[in-house]
Amino acid sequence: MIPTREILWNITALGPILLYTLMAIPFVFLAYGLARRVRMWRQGQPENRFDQLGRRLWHAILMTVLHGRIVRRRNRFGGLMHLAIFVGFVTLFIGTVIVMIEADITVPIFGVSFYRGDFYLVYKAVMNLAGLLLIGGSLAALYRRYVRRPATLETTGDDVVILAFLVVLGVQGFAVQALRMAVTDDPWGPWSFVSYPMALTLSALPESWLRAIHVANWYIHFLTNFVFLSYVAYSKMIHPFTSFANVLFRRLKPVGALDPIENIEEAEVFGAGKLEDFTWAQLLNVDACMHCGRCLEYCPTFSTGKPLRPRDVVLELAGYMADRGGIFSGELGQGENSARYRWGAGPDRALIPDVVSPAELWDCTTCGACMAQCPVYIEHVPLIVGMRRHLVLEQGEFPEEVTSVFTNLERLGSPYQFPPNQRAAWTKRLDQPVPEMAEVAARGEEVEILFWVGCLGSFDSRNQRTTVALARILQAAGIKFAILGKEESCTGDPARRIGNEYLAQMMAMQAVETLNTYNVKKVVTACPHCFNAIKNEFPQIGGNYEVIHHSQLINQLIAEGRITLDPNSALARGAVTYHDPCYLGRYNGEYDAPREALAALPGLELREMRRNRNTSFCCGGGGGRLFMEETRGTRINQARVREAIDTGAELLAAACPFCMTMFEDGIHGVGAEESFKVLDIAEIVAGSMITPNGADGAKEHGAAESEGAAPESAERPE
Amino acid sequence: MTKDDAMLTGRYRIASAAAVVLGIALILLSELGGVHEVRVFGAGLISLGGIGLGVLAGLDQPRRAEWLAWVRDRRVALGMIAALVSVAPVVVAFAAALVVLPAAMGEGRSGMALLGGLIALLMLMASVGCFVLAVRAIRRAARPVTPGSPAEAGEEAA
Ligand code: SF4
Ligand code: SF4
Repeated sequence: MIPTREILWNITALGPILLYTLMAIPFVFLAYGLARRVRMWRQGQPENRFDQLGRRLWHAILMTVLHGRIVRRRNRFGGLMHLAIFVGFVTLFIGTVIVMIEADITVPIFGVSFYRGDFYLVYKAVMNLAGLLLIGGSLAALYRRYVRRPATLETTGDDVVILAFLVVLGVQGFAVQALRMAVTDDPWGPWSFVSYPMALTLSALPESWLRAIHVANWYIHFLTNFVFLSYVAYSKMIHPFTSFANVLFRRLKPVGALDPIENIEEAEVFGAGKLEDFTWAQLLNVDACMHCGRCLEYCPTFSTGKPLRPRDVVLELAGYMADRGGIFSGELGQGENSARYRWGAGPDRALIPDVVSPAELWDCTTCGACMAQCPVYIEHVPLIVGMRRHLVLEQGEFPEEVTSVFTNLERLGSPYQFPPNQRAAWTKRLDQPVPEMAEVAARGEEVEILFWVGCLGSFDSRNQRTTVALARILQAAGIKFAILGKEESCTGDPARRIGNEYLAQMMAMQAVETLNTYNVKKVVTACPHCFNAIKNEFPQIGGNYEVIHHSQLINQLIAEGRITLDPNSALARGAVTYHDPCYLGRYNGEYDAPREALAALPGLELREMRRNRNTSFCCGGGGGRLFMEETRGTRINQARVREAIDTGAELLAAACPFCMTMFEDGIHGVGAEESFKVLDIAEIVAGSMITPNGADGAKEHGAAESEGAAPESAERPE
Repeated sequence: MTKDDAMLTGRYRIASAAAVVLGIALILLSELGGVHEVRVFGAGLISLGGIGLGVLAGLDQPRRAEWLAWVRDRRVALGMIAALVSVAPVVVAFAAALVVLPAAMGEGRSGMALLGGLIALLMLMASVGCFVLAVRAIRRAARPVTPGSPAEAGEEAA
């Protein structure tokens, strides 16, 4: 006897008639819901995301179907749970299609049956395994939501209904199979290893009962499937479609580059004050959220109790869009929202402040931790900055403290109230002069590298020490370099992240013009914000340079033996922990160079903080937050300093002037000035360097300056 | 939408509806007339027609659909009925398995029958548990939405 089974066993002609004719209903609902969403996305601004389709497609498959970003070491339980549900569901779906091909195509049309023999036996075992995965994964998800709930997870009615659907669908499948086998006494039953034992138990029932219960379960199983499919497009279950589409059409530009407002002089709309002001891809972005909460895990505002939760911003926008797009009936009344819409805003309310609050927008440090974690590549920062642009440029609304930043940038080319001719004041602390590009050009000479000092490195007294340290390293290595001096100006990074795109473009253009005048090829900077702007944003306006962060250059100089370190230096002893700056690590992928530079000092023991590398916890200073008061929740910089102290290190190594300022302040805030200090990588290396005259530089740098006088915190701009 | 677009959409809509009707006719022919060769074409036409109708309605201007408003107003009751109907047959099946478990164990292969009873019990618990959770969730989702705006929430947090 060849192993197989009768398809549609115990089902009269009415069964397939109902099955196939009612099939139109879920298709109508699914197609309607998807088309509604496409219609909503199309209301966004145009943007080309159709380039490199092959790369996009492969990446979408890798990240969604193959769960590239979903299963991660840090989220193993949630990731594997999702994988189990996905594999179970997809396998069962394919299994159903296989049966349909046999029953509706190969047998009736070609008279060929493949649903038999070994194929059939393996099929049975695989389907039972898939059913187990679906039920097990869904129950694990319920357990995670109700019993082991992470703080980042919020459970809506929609989540529960979907999981209940999946469990019941799986259970129904096993029930139908067990009831059939209980009557047919299937000799290949053991291959259906879950249903078979139940079939043996059920076989004690009278056959007429078994048949009746089987019919009822068969009909209800397909009806439940249809109801579920009809529900998909109006619930979170849409995410397999939207997530795939979102990864497919994700932004391929450098993650650190914000898109400029094109042709700003002629523009009529600045930023996003309405849904239609976002691009279509951004509207797709907010619709792709699967509520996993991973974007909250390393978000500094969520961790410190501020109103901004990146997931909620996305869901608020998505819910608002659903209301506006009439995802249900077209014109929903006030408060008639999807399960994801938290605030009951209704379609007629304003995007800001009714749907997304200014408090949410201003709290963001643009650290990018949310984007680095999001499994489906939702980009929160461009959404937030887009809305900030609207507030700043259209409404003239921004935190009061920022007014002076804008004024100083406009008048003096830096956020601080210092005249440009003081930019090079720090050079007086060096024994050897530092040439300015203007002099070098006047002499008809060229330099190897331009040292872009940055505003904090130029004017902030604490960060000037880093600048001096780096200049000493460059001089010790014999590098021919120059600075721009009074010709240097802000890159526009703070203005751009705060939302003043007009000012940002002005600053950036001025900087590019200066750099291009001197035909600059290579730039080194100690500021990751300048680094990111020059590397990723200046090319948007014709500024193309090789840009290197000082930690990379220092590491290279050590490796090439161009500077010599004293292993017994006072600074090169004890435990140190390194903080990854967001704009160097997450935005530009540089995690190793600073660590390698520290490792060159064998007396230093590097201790990692719990949140490191791409899960690094922001210092709180990015996105213009350095210049704003932190009035909501607890302080981000203090949270990070405490984490650093918890490693047992006495020294925090920084690689960013923003972080330096925030940490000096944080160390004061937690009262750890006596036992804990922060130094830039350049200060540690310069302080451990054997200088040309043979002296140990430790006294000149961190050892003397930090241990002696109390560190000065950065002054806020006047 | 231009007049031409509207005309084209109208034609697509008629074609989609016709596909569904023709598909249903083929399914009836297949099952009642025993011409099973046409079943797949019937199913295909119904699916395509359904997708067509859905897409055309979805891409159209939002407009108030009375029947959807009716559904929405009764969503709690409908949700509960759907939950009950979807779970009832499996509950009957697994409960029956548990009732006849002693008899099944007496018929030889008692170990397997016991395992079957255990699986049935677990599935029964999962089904009933999910039913309870779903009903609670449906009732909770029907509550009026949280009053207040994110702006107020921001101030509270401050
Ligand atoms: S960029 Fe940083 S602060 Fe802003 S929402 Fe994302 S994780 Fe939070
Ligand atoms: S935005 Fe991304 S990470 Fe955050 S909840 Fe949505 S899918 Fe998850």
